[in-house]
Amino acid sequence: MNARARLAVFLLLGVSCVFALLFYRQLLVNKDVDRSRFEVPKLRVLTYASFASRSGPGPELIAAFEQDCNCKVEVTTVNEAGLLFERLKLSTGPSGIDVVIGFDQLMLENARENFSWHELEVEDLTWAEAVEDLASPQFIPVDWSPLTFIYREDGRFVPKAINDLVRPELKGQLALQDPRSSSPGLQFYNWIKHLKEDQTVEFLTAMKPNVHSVSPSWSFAYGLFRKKQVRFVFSHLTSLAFHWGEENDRKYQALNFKEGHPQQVEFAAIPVSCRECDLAADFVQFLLQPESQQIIMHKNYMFPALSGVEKDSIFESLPKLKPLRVEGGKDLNDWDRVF
Amino acid sequence: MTGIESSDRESRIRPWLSVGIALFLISPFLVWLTAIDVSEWTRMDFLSAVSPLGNSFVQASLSTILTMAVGFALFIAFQSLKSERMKPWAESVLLMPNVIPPLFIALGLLTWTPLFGGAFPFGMGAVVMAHVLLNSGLVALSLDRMIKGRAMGVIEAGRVMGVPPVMFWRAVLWPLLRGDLMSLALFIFSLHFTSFSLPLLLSGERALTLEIAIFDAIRIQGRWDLAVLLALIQSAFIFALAWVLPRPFWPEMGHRPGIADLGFRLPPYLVFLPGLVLVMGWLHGLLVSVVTGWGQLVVPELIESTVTTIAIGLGVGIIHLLIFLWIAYVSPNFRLEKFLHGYLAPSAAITGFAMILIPVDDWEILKLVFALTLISVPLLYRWMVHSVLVSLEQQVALARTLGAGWMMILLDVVWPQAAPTLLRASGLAALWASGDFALSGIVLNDEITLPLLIEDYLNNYHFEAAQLLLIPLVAVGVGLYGFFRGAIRFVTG
Repeated sequence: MNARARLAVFLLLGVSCVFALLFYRQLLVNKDVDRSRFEVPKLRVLTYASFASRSGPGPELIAAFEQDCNCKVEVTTVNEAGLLFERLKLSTGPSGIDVVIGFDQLMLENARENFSWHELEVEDLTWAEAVEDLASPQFIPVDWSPLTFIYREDGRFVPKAINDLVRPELKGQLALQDPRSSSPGLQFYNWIKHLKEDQTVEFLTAMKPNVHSVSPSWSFAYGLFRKKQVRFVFSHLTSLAFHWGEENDRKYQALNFKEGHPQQVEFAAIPVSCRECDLAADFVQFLLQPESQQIIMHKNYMFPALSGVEKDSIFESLPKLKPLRVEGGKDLNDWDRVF
Repeated sequence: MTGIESSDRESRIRPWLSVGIALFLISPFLVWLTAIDVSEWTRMDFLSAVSPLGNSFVQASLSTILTMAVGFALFIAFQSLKSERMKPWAESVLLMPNVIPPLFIALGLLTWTPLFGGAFPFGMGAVVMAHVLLNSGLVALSLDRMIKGRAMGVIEAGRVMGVPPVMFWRAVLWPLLRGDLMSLALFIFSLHFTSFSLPLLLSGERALTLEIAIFDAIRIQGRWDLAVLLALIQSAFIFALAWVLPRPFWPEMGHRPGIADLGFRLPPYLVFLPGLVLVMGWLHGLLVSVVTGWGQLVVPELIESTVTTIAIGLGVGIIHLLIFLWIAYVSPNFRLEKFLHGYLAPSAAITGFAMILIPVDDWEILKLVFALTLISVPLLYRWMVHSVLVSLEQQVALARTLGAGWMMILLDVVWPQAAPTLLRASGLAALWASGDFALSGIVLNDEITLPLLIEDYLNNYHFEAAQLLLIPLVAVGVGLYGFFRGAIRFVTG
């Protein structure tokens, strides 16, 4: 065989392998798919990756919804919640989005200013206290959690108040997230700003020696914590549900400050550019069913938006932190001056 | 149709095919120019781009200088390896850091914190250190190929004549390889200049590089027009550098004997050091949590993500090979050569979201394959393909004089000689593609690759499973590279 023939064989073989692998993948993915569903309307959901991931709540919720809706749900994802609206901007036209899930209250201003949303009627629901005043006809809360520092009990000094975060015993022990690239990071910054007002820069400067690292993402900061590089990581209180429930390890604890803690509330909403608007409304209503809220709670490790759903679960036993309503935008000047 | 008519027709379409390559590569910019309001650019404060550009330049320069130095040491150590059977393993280990997700490279480095007195040195130093670990293996392998290909005869002559090592390197090898080394340095500089995740993870306090400024323009300001403009400035900067640097040239050699004596010796097992630094950090956590990690893994999604990753990597490799053949078909073409030598693809965010703007649904895997191709073709062309095509120019000219058509020249003259380089470059593209999570995270929807599965596990507290998944990820990456390397023997008979 000459070089020409060998090239042709190699290319054919390579292309065939790619198609064979894609075909095999399709078989793996679609082996349980009901063929009749290809003729039905498509609902397009935009959310962040970990919500839609295999170990997140997305697949179970979608499978349950598809059983009754006579529709197919397609998910579009972004790496992190902060990019949801940028992705939505690019999704006008034939590939439009019907439902957006996962933006938090700090993104509401952006949502109101730059997009138009359908109003939904959700009645007879008992919201959890933390989300009650944030629920609106356009923006429907789906889950929430207070934010605090998570740590592993080891007998060493544990802060009790926000001012303890500057104590020298904590030198290099705190893992934070960058408010530019991480929602918890932005929550932390706004929390400090809310508590310290015009003393924010001074407080952050005093706390700086205790900060081991400012990570771009929650997962990196939590990775540092899991690898025991830091004692405290800023995270959701509900992180404890994983350690207590799945790992059966109660050494993990959360700091409980007397000043109160910020809360992250995640929302779902329907842009007016939706194509399957009725189906979208049904899906949002479906997310508020107790069964769906259970799935979100257990798979997304967040408190449900409805009151009472967490009863008899590990979530009910988590510490109760004093809630603090923290407002804030993206003015990061004080942060920039210190970090 | 006669052979002359066919050749005339080929001569007419070749310039258009050259333009086609350029248009294909700049397509992300073209897509964006249809989607943004360019008049917004007049409102931009250009001085605000100076600081990120400066930071990127300093970071990339320091990283490149050190990577080249460490890469040279690894190259010397690589030559000292006695066992020929050990060399493919050493080569795999040198390339391994390129498939490990940046997050694990960063966490791997952090395991060595006790060496730094208990406080990891976040900042420019950490970013440079990570870049050195990541890319010094690439430099070592490039030097191996370059020096053996370009200077083997001179080395032999120098040894016979008993030239002292220092004089030999200064007076003989340096003038001979200067252009090639500059080209290699530019390639490494481009990688560091556009590095996103590692500066973000390891700079501690935020050092605003151009890539991070592009990210901020999208994430914080929601200004795609600004992001595209910054990406254009980034590409223009590399383009300008490429124009002022000497033209690279190193011919390919089929058979590559070891270099017996370069005047320096280093312990041979030094080649395993960069991989070891990262692997030890990874193993440190893995060994204590392998049982937990295994329990967290879901086998069907592991199989699905492995199959998808292999398909994407293989697809990227094959598309690279086709594009390199396309480039070879229209070569020599001075303008295209200059363009390819200087062009830098826009960042992952710009390229990835450009794919989303293309109004074709349900082709996400194909879009990803093209996006990954757009990113790595210019880099690999500059690093590997350009030299081999230049080295064949005289043979191409001779074949043309003898009346051969362009297609015949490609298949009977260029391909048999360029195949090893083109396949190796395609293999590297496949290896990089298999480790990608930045573009995959943007372009793919419900498809899952191994890097995305790792990210999923990390985001859902399953840190141990994520650590465990690095094993199949590295195996897939090295396996894909091995597949294309193994094909060299097949296609060259």
